[in-house]
Amino acid sequence: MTSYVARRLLQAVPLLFGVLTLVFIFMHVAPGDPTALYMRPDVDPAVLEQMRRNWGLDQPLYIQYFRWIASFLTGDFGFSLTQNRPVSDILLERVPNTLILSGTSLLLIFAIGIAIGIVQAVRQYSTMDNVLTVGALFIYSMPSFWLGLMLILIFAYKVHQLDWWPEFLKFPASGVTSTNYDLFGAGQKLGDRIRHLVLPSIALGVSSAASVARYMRSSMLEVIRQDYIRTARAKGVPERSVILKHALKNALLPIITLLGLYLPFLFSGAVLVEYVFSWPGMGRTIVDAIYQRDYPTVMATSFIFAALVVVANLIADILYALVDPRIRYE
Amino acid sequence: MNGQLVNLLRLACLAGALSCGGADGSAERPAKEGNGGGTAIVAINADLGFFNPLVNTDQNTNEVIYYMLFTPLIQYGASLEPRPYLAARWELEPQAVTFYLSDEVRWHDGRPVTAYDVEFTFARAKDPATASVLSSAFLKHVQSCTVIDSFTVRFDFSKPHARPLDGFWWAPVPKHLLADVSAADMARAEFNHQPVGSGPFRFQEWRPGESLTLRRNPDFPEALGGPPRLDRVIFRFIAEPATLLSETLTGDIDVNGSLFPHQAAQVKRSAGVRLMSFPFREYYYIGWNLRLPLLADPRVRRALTMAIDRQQLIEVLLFGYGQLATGTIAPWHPMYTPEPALPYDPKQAAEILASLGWIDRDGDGIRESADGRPFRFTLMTNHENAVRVDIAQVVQSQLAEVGVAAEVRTLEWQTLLARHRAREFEAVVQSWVLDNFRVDPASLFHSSEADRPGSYNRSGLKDAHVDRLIDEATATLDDEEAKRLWAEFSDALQAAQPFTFLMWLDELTAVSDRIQGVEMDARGTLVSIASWWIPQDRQKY
Repeated sequence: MTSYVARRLLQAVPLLFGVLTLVFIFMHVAPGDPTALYMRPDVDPAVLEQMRRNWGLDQPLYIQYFRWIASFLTGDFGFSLTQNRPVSDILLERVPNTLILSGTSLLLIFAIGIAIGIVQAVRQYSTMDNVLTVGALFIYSMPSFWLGLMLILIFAYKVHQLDWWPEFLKFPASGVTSTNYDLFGAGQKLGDRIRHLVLPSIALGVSSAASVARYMRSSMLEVIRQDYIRTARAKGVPERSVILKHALKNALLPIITLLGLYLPFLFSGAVLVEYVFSWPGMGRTIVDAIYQRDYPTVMATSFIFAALVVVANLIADILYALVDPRIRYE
Repeated sequence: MNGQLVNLLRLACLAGALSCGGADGSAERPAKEGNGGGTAIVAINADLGFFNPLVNTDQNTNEVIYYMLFTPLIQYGASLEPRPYLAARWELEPQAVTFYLSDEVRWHDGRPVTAYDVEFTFARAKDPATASVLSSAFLKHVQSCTVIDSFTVRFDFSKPHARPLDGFWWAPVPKHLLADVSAADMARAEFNHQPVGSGPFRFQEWRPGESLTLRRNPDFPEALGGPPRLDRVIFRFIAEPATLLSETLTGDIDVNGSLFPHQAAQVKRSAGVRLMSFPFREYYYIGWNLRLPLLADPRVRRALTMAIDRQQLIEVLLFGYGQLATGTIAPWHPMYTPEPALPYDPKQAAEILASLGWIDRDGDGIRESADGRPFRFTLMTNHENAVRVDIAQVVQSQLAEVGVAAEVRTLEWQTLLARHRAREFEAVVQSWVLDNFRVDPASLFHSSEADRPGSYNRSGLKDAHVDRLIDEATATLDDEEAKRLWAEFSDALQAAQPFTFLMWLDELTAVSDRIQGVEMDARGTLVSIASWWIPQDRQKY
C-alpha cells in the first residue's frame, strides 16, 4: 500500500508539471497585461513600462518561465502583481477558507445524498420515491449561484422581516464571521462561524447531494436484489439491519469513487458560490487573478487546485481499497 | 474590476492670484452635535488594501488615503477650491510655491510630519524606478523640491502653468519608515499593508478580501478638523451586488458604497435607509477610430452622435441617474461652461450622411458609398459590464434606423483593452473615471499622443485647433482666461467628435438612518467621514 501511494504521488509530479506549463503558456498568450489596472490618461505609458520592468515582464517568455519554475522549486511562489504581497501569504489566508467550505459541503452531499438514496431504494415506486426523484431532479438542475441568491433572498433577507421567524434561522448573507466576532466568547465564535457556513455550503453542495441520491438509489436497488440479502431476510434478520448493515456496506462502494469526482467539481463550484457569499476563498482569488493577469497568483492557485484534485483522487482510491477487501493495490 | 479606467481633470482655484492661504481647514465642518462614538460599517464591492499614496491607484483606496489615513498637502472644498490641510498656508509665485506646514500633525507612531517627509515623497515619486502614478498625475510640471526648514518646503516648476495647486493633492509618506525601501521595491513594501498614516483615522487591521478596520485618531489636530466623531469604521468587501443590497436592507451594513441604478428604487422604498446620489467622475463614451476612412470625417461622426438618443440611454439604462456628457470637463467642475449636446435628430443625421454620399443604393437598409462600400463597422465592448453591453445594443438599433450597420462584439475585459490600446478597433463603448481635479485632456486628445505606443489618444485625433487650445489653457495663469479657453476647447471637441460622449454617471449610495452628518459629492463617498456620527442610542458594538 505504501509503495502504491508513493508511486501515485510520483506519477502526479509530471502531471502537475504539465498543468503548470500549460497554464503558464495560456496565461501569457492571452491578450492583456497586469498593468491594465493602472491604465488611465494621467498615468504615462512610460510609468506602465517601468512597472513591467519592475515585475520582470519585459524578459522573453522562456526566461520568465524558467525563472518562475526555479523559484517555485525552492518553495517561493513570488509576489502578487495586483495585491503586491507574497502569493504564499494569500494562499495561507484563502486555502483554509475554501477547504472549510468544500469540506462542509462534501459532508452535506454524502450525508443527505446517502440518506435520501436509501429511503428511495427501500420505498421504490412509492409516492415518497417519486416525490424525492422529482425533487432531486429539480434541485440538481439549479445552478449553484442562482440557488445561492435565492437562499440569500429568503433566509438572509425576507425572513428578517417576519417577527415570528425564529432568530436562529435567520442567516447572514456574506462573510466568514460577523463584524463583532472579536467580542464573542469561544462557544459563540464557533456558532457564528457555523451560521455563516450554512447558506454557502447548501448552495454549493445541494445539487451534488441530489445526484449522490440518484447514484445511491440505483446502487442500493442493485444490492437489495442480490441473493445474500434474500438469505439475510430469510433467516429472520430485522429489515432495518438488513438494509443498514448488510446492504448499505456494499451499496456504498460505488459511491466512494464519487468522492474523487466531486472534489474538483466542488472547487470549481466554489468559484461562483464564494463570489455570491463574499467568501474569501481560493475561487474568488483565482478568478480575479485571471481577469487582472496576475500571473504569479494564477500559477500558484492553479497549482494548489491541481494538487488538491490529485490528492482527493488518491484518497478516494485508498478508501476504496479499505472498504472493499477484493481490491488490493500492489 | 469592470475596466474602469481613469482619466483625470483639474480643478479651479477660486481664490485667484498669487497667494491663497488661510488658517482653518475645518471651516466647513458642521457644528458637533450629540456625543461621539460608535462603529460605522461601510461596504464596497472590491477589496481595499494598498495604503501607500506613492503607489496606490485604486479609487476606493484613494479615498481612504485622502480622507482617513493620510494628510494631503491641500484638500478641496465643496466647490472644489483648494483649501489648506497639511499645508496651513502657501505662497504662490509664477514658477514656484512655498508651503508652510502645520507643525501639529503627527504620524500615528508619534513622530511629527515634516518637510523632510514631503521632500522624500516627492523624490520617490519623481524616481522613474518607483513607477509612481503621482509623477505623471500631479508632478508633470514640478521640477524640484527644497526643504527650507522642518515645516517649510518649496517646489519649483519647470514652467508656469495653470492652476498649479492642483498638482499638490497628494499625501506624504513617512520618511523614517520608508527610507530603507528602494524605489523599485516601493510597491512591495510591507508598510503598504500595515500603514502608519497621519490622518484622522488610524489603521487597525486589514483582512484581505474581508474587511478593513480603522480607529479614531484622538490626537488629530483641531486645525485640520480635529478627531473624528466615530470610534471605528469597518469596511467590508462584498462583490455580489444582490448580497450587498440584502445586507444593506437588513441593517447589517450602514453604508453601501457600490449601489447600482436598478437597485435605487428598492432602497428608496425601504425604511431605515436613505438613498444618496450625486454627480460623479465617470463618463461613458463611444470611441471612434479616426484612422478608418469610414470614420475619418468629423461630419460623419457628428451624424452618428445625432442618431443616438443619449437621453434615452440615461433614462432607460441608468434609471435617470446620470446626465448628458459633452466633453471631458465634468458639469460640477469650476472650469465647466455649459455646452449644449448635439441634438438627437435622426432625420438630420440621415440628411448629413446622404449629403456625404452615403445612400442606400441597393435597398438592403444599409447605406453605401458611391463605390458600393456599405456603412458597416464593429462596435466592441466588454461583456462583464452589463450596462455597456446594453448601450452597445441600443446604439446598434438606433444606428440601424439611419441605415448604419454596427455589429456588436463583446470581449473579455483585458482582450478589449489590449485591442483598444493597440488601436485595433473600429468603435468601442468605454468609460473613463477622473481621479483628481486637474484639467488636462492632452493625453486623450493632443496630436502628440496619437501615434505614441500605449498612449491614450487611441482614437487618433489630430486637430491643430484642439492642440492649440489645450496648450494655451494649461499654460495660462489666469483662471478666467483658462475657463474661456476650456469652453472654446469643448466647442472644438464637439466639432471634432473623436468620441460620442454619452453620459456622466451619478454615484449612488445607500446610507442607514443610523449614520448622521453624511455629505457626499464629486470629491467622494468618504469626503465627510470625519464628521459622520451615530446617535448614542443607536450605537452598536
